[in-house]
Amino acid sequence: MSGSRSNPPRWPERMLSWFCAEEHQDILLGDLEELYEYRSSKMSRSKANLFYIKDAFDMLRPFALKKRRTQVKNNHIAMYKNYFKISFRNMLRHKAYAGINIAGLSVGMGCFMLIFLYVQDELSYDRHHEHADDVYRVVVNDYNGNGEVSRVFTYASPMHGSTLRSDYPQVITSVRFNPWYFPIIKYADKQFEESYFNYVEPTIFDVFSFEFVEGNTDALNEPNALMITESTAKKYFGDESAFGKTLEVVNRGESKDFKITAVVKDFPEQSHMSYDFMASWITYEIDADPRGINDYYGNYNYPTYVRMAPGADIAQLKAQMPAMLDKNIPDIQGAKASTRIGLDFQKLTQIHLNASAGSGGTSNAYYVYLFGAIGVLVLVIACINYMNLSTAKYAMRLKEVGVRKVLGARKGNISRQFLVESMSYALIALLLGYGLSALALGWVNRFAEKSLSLNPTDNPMLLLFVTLVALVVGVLAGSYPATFMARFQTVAALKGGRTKVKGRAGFRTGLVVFQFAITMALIIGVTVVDRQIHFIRTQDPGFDRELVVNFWASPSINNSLEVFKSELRTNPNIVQASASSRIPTGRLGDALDATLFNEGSKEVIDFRFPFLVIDNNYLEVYDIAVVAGEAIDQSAPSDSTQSFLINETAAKLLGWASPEEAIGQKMDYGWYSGFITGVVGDFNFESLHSAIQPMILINGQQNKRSMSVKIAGEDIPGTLKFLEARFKAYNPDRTFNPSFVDDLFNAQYEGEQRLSEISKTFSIIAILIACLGLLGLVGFSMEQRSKEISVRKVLGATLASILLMVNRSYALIILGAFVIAVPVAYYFLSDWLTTFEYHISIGVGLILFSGLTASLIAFVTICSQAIKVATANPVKFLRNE
Amino acid sequence: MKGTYLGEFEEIVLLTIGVLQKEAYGVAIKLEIENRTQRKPSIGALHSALSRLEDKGFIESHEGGATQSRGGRRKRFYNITAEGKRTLIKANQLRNELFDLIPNLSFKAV
Repeated sequence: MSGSRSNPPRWPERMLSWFCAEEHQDILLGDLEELYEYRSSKMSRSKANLFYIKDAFDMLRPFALKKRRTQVKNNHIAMYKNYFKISFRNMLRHKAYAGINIAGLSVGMGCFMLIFLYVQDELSYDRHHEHADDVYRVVVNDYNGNGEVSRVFTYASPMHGSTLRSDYPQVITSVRFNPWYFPIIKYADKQFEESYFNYVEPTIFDVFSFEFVEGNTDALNEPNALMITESTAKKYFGDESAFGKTLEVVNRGESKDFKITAVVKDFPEQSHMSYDFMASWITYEIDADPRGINDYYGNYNYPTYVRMAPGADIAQLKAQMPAMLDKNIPDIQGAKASTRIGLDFQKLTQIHLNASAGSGGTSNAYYVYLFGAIGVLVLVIACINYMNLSTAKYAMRLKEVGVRKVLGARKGNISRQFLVESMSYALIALLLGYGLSALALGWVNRFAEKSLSLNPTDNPMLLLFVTLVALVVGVLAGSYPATFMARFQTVAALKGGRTKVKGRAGFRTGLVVFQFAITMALIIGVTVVDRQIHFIRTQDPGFDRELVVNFWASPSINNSLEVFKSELRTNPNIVQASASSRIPTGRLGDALDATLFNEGSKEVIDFRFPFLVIDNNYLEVYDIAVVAGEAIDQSAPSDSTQSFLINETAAKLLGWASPEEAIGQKMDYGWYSGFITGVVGDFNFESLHSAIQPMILINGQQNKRSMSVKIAGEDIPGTLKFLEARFKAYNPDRTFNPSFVDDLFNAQYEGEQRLSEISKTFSIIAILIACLGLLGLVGFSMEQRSKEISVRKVLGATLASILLMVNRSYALIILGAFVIAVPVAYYFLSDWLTTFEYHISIGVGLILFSGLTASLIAFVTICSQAIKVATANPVKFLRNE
Repeated sequence: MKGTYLGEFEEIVLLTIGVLQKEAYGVAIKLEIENRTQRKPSIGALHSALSRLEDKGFIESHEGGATQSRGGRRKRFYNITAEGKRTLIKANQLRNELFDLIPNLSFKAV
């Protein structure tokens, strides 16, 4: 071709060759070229170019795409058969190598399946209700002086629900519950202490969905009507029909009969609420104190749910709430009500995942996503393993690829073969992974307190998803080996196993670095989570939680509290007893409006701090320090000359430089009025997630529902038996449910504990898989370098120097991984740590420790392989040259 | 197999292949049609027709060797199959028969 010849633009040709079936390409492009030559002799070059482009586009017709029918079809099936056959033969021939691959993939898939089940379960809460997407729970926010939310109540005042329903057109309806706790319920000779009994409005059927076993949605219209769940019906009536039977319900000494008008299926396990007794609201309204039921403010005892019109804007409704509150609540201490409280709406489907202050959820979206991420990471590590191992062993398959190419295989065929191979691995791993996860399922269920099932008929999504995952894993893991193997030149492939693959090691090294980075990040994560949990558990909370037994102080105990306490103290193993409204490790729920009459400056301060009702032995039982003033007034308190104790934080917030200044100040607190007589040292009443709150301790009469008993360390079972006997003496119908305060203390961190256990387990698995990969990789590289190492040995290299040499080449990989892992892990972990008010800091030592641990694991893995070659007799490898 | 109906353009292509004998490949057929019929079929349309004819079994093809003139690319040569030949003859006969049936008078009227 002469240089003077004009050339058409190149891109139409590229476009055509991309579009056309291979067998058409030459013919069509040839015609194009010939026409162009013909035209350029007759017309201007630019015109010929235009024609050329037009013709190229003109050729984009269906016929050009079409494959020739004649040979292809049967051949493909035969070839795929062959690909499978060769895959399995290769597995059998290289059992160790195939074993490592399959082990990695199947463990990865097993973990992934379990985590998928867990996450799926967590995300499915409360979705079974027909209108789930339109239902919201009403929550009440308390605001502090700066307008920030200081407290969240998931129960609303009684009038909130009814006003929302009547005054706002976008609210279709609302339902209010009124639960009371620990009723005794009787039928014939059967009697149980239940945890809840609920009054509920009949609109419940418009908000939530129920499946009726007996009865219908008219069930809650009459007074004294009761709807129960199926399992409850079985518990009281056995196999008899419950419909129309009567249950006697005893609460606080009053007894009432309810007729059963409906039996519904139990709430599914994936519900944030689970009520077994739902009685008609009208029963409650008839008896209720009219003052209590007309509240817009306080009296937060009514779980309330609204169902919005489809598509209604919940933010708009929320924006209307301050006006509603201001209209119905008189100004609080001179300020508008909406500056003190606000109403918010929490989407039903998000209640379970967003366990925030005081809400019913036990789980947390954060952890669910974290587990999801770990599941994906484990799977990715397994895939990388496969890619690494199969490309590292490329030499083994090179001749085969060469021969296939000579016999007419194209790039596509070779790629397909290796994809089929990775698919076979993935499918085998899928079956094994399924088996593994079935074995581990019992453990996971016990641990997560769930009843997850691997049964595909229960969970068709699982089957679908898992198959999809296997296919994705097959393609993902196979993609690199497939393109890698297909790229070899036929001749180079046939020439022999020593082909130098320049530049291709780069990608593989990248993969190993990535894999190790994940491993290291996981090690850092596990260490940090572990340390933080250790830190929390050993942190001094400011009170003594050892050997304190807590149980319910029933009204009958409260009625003769001092007598009960002195009875307890007759037992030498009981040190002290105290009744209070709440105990440490719980939450600070109640707060009243307070006014401080600052005598010196004649200044009046309004504030609102949570309070605690205690008796005069409380500080002793919990060993809480008094920093100023007196512990507590021993004389019987009266409402007008109350003595208040405050904590240090409260003293600071109220503006006193030292706790001593607070002593003797006059204060009104709710209906109490009196003087501050003492300041106690700060202690972590709530968990270490939140900062210490200002609080007020009142030696009062009401609401002392909790009994705390400090016992001696000897004969604990005997002491508990004694306590039970005394409890039963006052409450013959009740069960005695003692708990140890240090157990309650630890239970506060149950979520974190679980996170730690799960992340530890899966991280160890991830690390093991990564080690398997490294093992395979090093083993292969040793095989290739066996001659080099043997020569070195012959020339006098020592074992140590050989190990050093081998490890040196991996040192950079580990360093690279370290550099990537540290910032990533640091970022996520600092984020997690901020969920604690009190937390450790991630120090250099901690990071170095994790890095060293990972390096040590790598070092041991590498040496285990290298030693085999380095200690072998050099003759073994040098003989056959 | 699709219907063995022979379209008008397909018939011209088929005839041209017959005319060109052993030299019937894409560009040659296109130029021959341009010369004889004054119509300018696009190269895409032509290949599309060739592919249809081949599907119907009227022509068969083989690839020639590489040539200098077209960037070293191969040509695909076409020739008429027995089936193609039969169809052509049949079409021709039908046309002639119909033609003969036209009375002379009506020609005058045209």
